[in-house]
Amino acid sequence: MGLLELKGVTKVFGGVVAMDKLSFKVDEGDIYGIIGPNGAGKTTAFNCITGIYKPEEGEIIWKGENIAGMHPCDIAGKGIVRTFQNIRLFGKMSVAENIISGRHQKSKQTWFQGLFSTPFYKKDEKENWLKVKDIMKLMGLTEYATIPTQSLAYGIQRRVEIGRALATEPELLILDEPAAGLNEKETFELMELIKRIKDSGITILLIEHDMDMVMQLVNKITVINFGKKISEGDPDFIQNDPVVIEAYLGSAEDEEDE
Amino acid sequence: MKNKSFIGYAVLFAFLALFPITNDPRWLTVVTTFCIYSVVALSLDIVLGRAGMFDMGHALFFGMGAYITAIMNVHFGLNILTALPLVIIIPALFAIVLSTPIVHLRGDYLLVATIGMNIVFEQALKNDLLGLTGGPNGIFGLDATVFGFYLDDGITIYYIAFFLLLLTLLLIRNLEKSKVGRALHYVQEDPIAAESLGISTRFYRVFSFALGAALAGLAGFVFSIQYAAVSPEAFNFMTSVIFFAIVLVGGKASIPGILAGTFIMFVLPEIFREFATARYFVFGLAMVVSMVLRPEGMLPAKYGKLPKYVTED
Repeated sequence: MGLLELKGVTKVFGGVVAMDKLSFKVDEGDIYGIIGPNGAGKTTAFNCITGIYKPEEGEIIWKGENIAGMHPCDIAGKGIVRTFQNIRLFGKMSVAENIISGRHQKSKQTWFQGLFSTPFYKKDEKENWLKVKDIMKLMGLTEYATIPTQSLAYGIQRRVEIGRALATEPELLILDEPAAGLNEKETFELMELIKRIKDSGITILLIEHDMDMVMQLVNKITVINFGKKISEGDPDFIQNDPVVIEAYLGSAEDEEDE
Repeated sequence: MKNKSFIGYAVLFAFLALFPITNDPRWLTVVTTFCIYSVVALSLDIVLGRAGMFDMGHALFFGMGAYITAIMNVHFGLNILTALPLVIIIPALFAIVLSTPIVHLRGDYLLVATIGMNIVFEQALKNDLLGLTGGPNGIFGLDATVFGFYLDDGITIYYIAFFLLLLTLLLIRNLEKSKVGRALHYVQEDPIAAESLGISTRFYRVFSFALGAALAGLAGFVFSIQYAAVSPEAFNFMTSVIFFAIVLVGGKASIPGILAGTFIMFVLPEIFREFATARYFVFGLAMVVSMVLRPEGMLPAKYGKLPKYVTED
């Protein structure tokens, strides 16, 4: 049994089938890639897994439990945490305040303890801020700790968002096009970071357009087109699969012209 | 930076603590009301400024606290202090029941829903609900005697209101620095991102209503003692609108902003009393100008205040 398994998941938007009976299985320790042309339904798949969309049909099995249709916050509580294609940070707040948002579930203080500033609150608060400090060090963000994230460069914002997700101590980290908008150096650093995250025992599910990156990083790939799975396998197999080359790699050339 | 705000609060508190020595009954009443209205504005700010919920019916909870006190005291002849736990709990419970079905609504729709609730509340008061609310004239003659002390004596009620303001400021300062206070901001700024991190938007939205209502109810308790009477006009939709404006003009989620906003909306009109109603013309205009020039409010909230052990090596 895999860590996460999608079984025939279907999502319809006003008569348009965005995702058609999608099935795939992520095992523990994988870096699992999902690729496909623009509009193929990759982000829709992520939104179904994380509970932002409720699929019309199918099951999403996490450690043997069907999580399809649960609230996003409950799914996050089970250890599935994501980043977003177009970065969703709390822009007015500083880097540190963004990262501590990831500690929300792990932090045990109640509203009452917070309001009355009890000793337990103080202890809990300190523990969590120190975790944030460690994460900022790990991600090279310490120098930006007090700066509002909306005024930071794109590449740094990406790191903050990944740091925030890591602060939740997830079991499955879902990255939606993490290299989008990054330069070559930043992409390289990101790949190193993803490898380190994997080595720390976190399973990773990845959507990415940068083919070099996908092929180097992942150990298994699902290819989606028009909401359907058209191929599945390891990077070597996918690169040589004629169905994939026709559907995806051809159109990938067009994208580079944009 | 930190010292500046510390000095600001110290001066304000010292001024308020010593104010009664001026021995001017009219101004004592004005400043008492300022303290109470500041608490209401700060309580609305938890909902509107911190959780980002467009609540334009907050006078409902303020009025609920005041009416509970008056009903228990006048109709049931109970000591005024017995109302104390209820003026916190009942508005909070009402807030939970009323807000749960509507918190998923988007800003403008929620606004209309809360206005509706305020209007229903006002009508219930005016129509003498269950023979308890006293109709359009309200309820008179609260007896605020506790162990032989008259709580409605000018200086006593002043210090009660001042203490309430201090307590509220302390609670909100604690809230700001706690997990829950931060969660309210996350839910306001990006509910989808907050949810995806395991923060329940529904829970914190309802929580903000409950906490805001509890504090407003407590303010209503003090307000009803101050005037020894309650009437529907003090808690109508227009009152809610003014509190709403205070939060936006002062600065959402900003304690100094809310205090400054309350000062401008309630104390300045008293200072310029000789200009009669013309002064409201100026305030309406000032609201427009301040929104255009300072859309974030006069004293916008500041973020990035971290505990020392985070920034130090």
